[in-house]
Amino acid sequence: MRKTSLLILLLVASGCATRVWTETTDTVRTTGGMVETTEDVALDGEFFELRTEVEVDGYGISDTISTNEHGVMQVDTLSAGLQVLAYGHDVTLELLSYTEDKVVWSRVITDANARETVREVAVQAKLGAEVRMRTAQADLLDRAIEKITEPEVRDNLESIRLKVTIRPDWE
Amino acid sequence: MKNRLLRIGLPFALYACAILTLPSCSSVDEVWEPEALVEETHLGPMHFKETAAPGKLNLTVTQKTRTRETPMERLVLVHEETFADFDWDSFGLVFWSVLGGIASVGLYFLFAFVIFDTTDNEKD
Repeated sequence: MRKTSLLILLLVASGCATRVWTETTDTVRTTGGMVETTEDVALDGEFFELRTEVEVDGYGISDTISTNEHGVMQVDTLSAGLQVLAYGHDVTLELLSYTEDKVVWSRVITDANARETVREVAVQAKLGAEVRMRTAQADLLDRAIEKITEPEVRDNLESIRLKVTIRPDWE
Repeated sequence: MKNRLLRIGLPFALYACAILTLPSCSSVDEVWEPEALVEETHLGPMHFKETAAPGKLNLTVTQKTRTRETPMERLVLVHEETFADFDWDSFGLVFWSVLGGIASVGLYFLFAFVIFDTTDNEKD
């Protein structure tokens, strides 16, 4: 009988398992009054379409950008500047909000703005900074280099060209 | 014959009883976990604060937002289930653990009181 008791004890000890899991229900109860606050908050994870007018040959900037957790996003002004230099007219950079389905911000990039942007980026490129752009924008840079006759601007564009790396389409 | 049946059947009956009583060890506890019901409504247009960087424009987007926050508690059920999960691996593990434990204690007494017993020598 002692042997069988030991056997039973061993069987129970080796075959007993416990599992614990939680189940969230839809039952709720309020524990206090509602607090209402109104303030300016940074919009995080907000998506916008960054775009410019489409040129006669079909070129135009169309990119999706979003805000980070601090509500900050980066708008690439070099691409718009290159469009200004390559096509010879002012370009309006627009932000279309996907949430509100309307243009919520715009900025006209003039020839002077474009030259200033190119100069700033060229300084960074000469210091060794990488300039990332899409294939279409790199082609536009080549077109701008061919079109611009002023040596200073052309030199700046060529400095940028040396530091260009292509951004893949999925990025 | 009757004794043999009793000797074989009784342990299995006891084992079956033990297995069948395991669900009684199971339980469901109710826990109220605090959380907040937050409802956000955007009011008015978005505001853009611009800071310039070479070739880039950093835009900080803000919007006037009304936030309604209600503290509440949600019912969460904590289930604990005890069940039979017998397999020969775990049986072997328990079996040899028990046997190993008995052997260790036996060896301790053997070495301490038989092989290295110094009390007889002291008497001499």
